Amino acid sequence: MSRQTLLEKLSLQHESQIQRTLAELEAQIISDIAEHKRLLTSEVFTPEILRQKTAISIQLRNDFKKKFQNTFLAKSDSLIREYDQIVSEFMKKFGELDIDDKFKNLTKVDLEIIKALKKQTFDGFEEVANKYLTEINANVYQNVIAGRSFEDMVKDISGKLTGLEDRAGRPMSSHAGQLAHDSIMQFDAQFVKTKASSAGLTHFRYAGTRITTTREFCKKHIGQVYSEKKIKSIWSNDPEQGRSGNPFIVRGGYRCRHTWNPVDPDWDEKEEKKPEVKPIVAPKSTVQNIVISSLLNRGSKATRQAYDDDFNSQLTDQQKIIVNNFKKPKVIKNSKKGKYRSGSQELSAELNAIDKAGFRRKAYAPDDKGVKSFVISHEYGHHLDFITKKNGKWWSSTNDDFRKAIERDKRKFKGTNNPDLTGRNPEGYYVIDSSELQSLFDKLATKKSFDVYRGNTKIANQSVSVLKGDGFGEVSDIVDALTSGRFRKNYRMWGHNESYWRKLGHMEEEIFANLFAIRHNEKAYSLAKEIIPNTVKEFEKRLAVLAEV
Amino acid sequence: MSLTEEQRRTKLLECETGKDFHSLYELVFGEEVPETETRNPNEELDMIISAIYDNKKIDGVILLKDERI
Repeated sequence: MSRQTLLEKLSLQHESQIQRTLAELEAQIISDIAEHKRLLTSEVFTPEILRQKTAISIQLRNDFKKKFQNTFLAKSDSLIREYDQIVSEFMKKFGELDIDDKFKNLTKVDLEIIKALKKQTFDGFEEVANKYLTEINANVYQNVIAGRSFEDMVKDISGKLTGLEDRAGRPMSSHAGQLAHDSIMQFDAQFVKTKASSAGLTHFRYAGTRITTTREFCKKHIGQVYSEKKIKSIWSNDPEQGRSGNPFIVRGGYRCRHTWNPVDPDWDEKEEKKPEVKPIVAPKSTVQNIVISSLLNRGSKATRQAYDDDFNSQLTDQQKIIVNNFKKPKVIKNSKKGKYRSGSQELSAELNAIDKAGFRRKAYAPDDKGVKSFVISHEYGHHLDFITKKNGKWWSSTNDDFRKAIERDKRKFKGTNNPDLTGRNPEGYYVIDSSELQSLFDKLATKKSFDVYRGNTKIANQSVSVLKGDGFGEVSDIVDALTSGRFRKNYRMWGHNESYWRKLGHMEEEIFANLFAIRHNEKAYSLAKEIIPNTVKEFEKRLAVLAEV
Repeated sequence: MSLTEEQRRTKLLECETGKDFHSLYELVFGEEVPETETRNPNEELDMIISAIYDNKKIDGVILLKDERI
C-alpha cells in the first residue's frame, strides 16, 4: 500500500469511526436526560423544584463529562495510536532513498517527536470535546430552567452533536470529522518534514490525486518539485492559497489530501516521477461498442455519437455482451427525466447527466466537470431486468435469492425490527438507525450551505448535498431504497420519493438498476459492495447468467 | 390550517433540515411533496422552496404502473 493510499484509507476510517462514536454519545446523553424527563421538563417553578432542577443539571454535567471521556476521547486516543502505521509506511519508503543509512531508522529523538505530535493531536480533539461539552451543558441548563419540552431538548442536543451545519453553528460531527482527517494529514506532514530536514533534503514534490473537489491551487502544484525556499514563497504570495500557516502543514487548506514527498533534485527521478494518479477508468474494451443511437427519436449526428460514447463508457465488457444478447428498447429519448416504461419499452435518459442544481448553487468550482450520474445505464438496467424475465415481471423483484440478500444486507446495519403490517415480510419491517445513515452520508457526500434569494430578498437557507464521486448518486439511491426514502428526505440525498418506495417491487428493481449503472466504476461499485455485499453477489450471479445466454 | 403570506415566508426562512422543508410543504398544501421524477435532492428542494414562497403547489407527475425512474 502506498503512503497516499494509507493516508486516505485511515482518513476515511477515522472519520467514519468518529461519526459512529458521536452518534453513540448522543444516544447516551439523550438517555440520561430521559431518565429525569419529568422533572427537567416540568413547568412548575417552586423553589424546591428549581433546587432539584439545578441539582440534576449539575449531576448531568458530571455524567456528560464522563461520557465524553469514555466515548469520544477514548476513541480519539485509540485512533491516534494508529498513526504508527503512517510512520512505518513512510520509513519503508524513506529507507529506499539514496540517503545516508543513519537517517533510515527511527532515532530516540524521532520517537520523542512522534510522541509530542500525538499529544498535540489529542489536545486538538480534547479542545473540540470541551467546546461542545460546554455548549451542551449550557443548553441543557437553559432548557431545564425554561421548562422546555423533552423533544426540543433532544433536538438541541442532536443539533449540537450530529446535526447539519446551519445557522445554529457547526455540529460536533462536522468539526470532529474534519479534525480526524486533517490530524492524520498534519501528523504525516510534520513527521515527514522533520525526517527530510534531518537527512538534509530541501526539495519536495507536491503529491496526490485530483478529485472533483480538488482546489485550483492544489491542481496547479500537483506533481511539481520545489525547494523549501520556493515553497515558502509560493505559499505566502499566492492569493489562491486560502489558509495561512506553515506550507508543509497546511498544504492546500482544510481537508487537503495532498502530501509533500522529500526528493533530491540530483536523483534520477524517472522512477519517482508519478505526478498524479489518473482517475480510475475502465480498461480498454475488447468488446465492440454498442450502438443505441439509431433508437434515439431525434438528435444530430454529433448528439447520436455522443450518446453512444456516453452509454459505452458506462458499461463493462460483460455488460456489453449482455446488452447484445437481448432485445434493445423500442425507442430511446435524450430527455432530462430518466425513465423506463416497460409496456412500450421506451427509455428516456439524459446525455452526460450531472448535478445541475449543485452548479446553480455554485457548489462546484466553475471549471469543475461536476459529479456524473450514470442515467443511461441505470435505465438500461431497468430494461434488462424486465425483458430478461420474459413473463411480464421483473427479475429482481421476483427472485427470492435477490430479495433475501437485500434483507440480509439491510439487517447488517444497526436498527430496529418492527411488525410488518403489510404482511410482505414475515421477519418484520427493519428500520436502519439514523446513526448508520449519517455514516453512510459522510462516505458519499458533503454539505454546503447557501442562502437562496429572490431578487435581493433572502427567502431560504438551503444546504446542498455535494456527492464525493461519480456514480455516488446511484449508491445513495441504493441506501434510499433500503430506508424507503428516509435517506433522501432527511439527509437530502439522491433517491426517490417516499410514495415511490411504497410500491411493491420498486426497492429491488431500483437496486438492480443502480448496480447495473455503477458496475463499471470501481469506486462507486466498491462502496456498494461494502454496503450490500450479499446483494452484489446475487447481482453478479445474474450478470454471469445473462452473459452466457 | 392556512397560513398568511408572511407566516409562510417566515417559516420558510426557519427551515433547516430536509424534513423541515417537507413538513412545511405539507402544512401549506395539506399534502406530501408529489412525485417530481428527479432523483436529485437539490433539484427537488429548489422546487419545494419556490412552491412555498409563491404558494403554488408543485405540478407533480403521476407515474404509470409500468414506469420506473
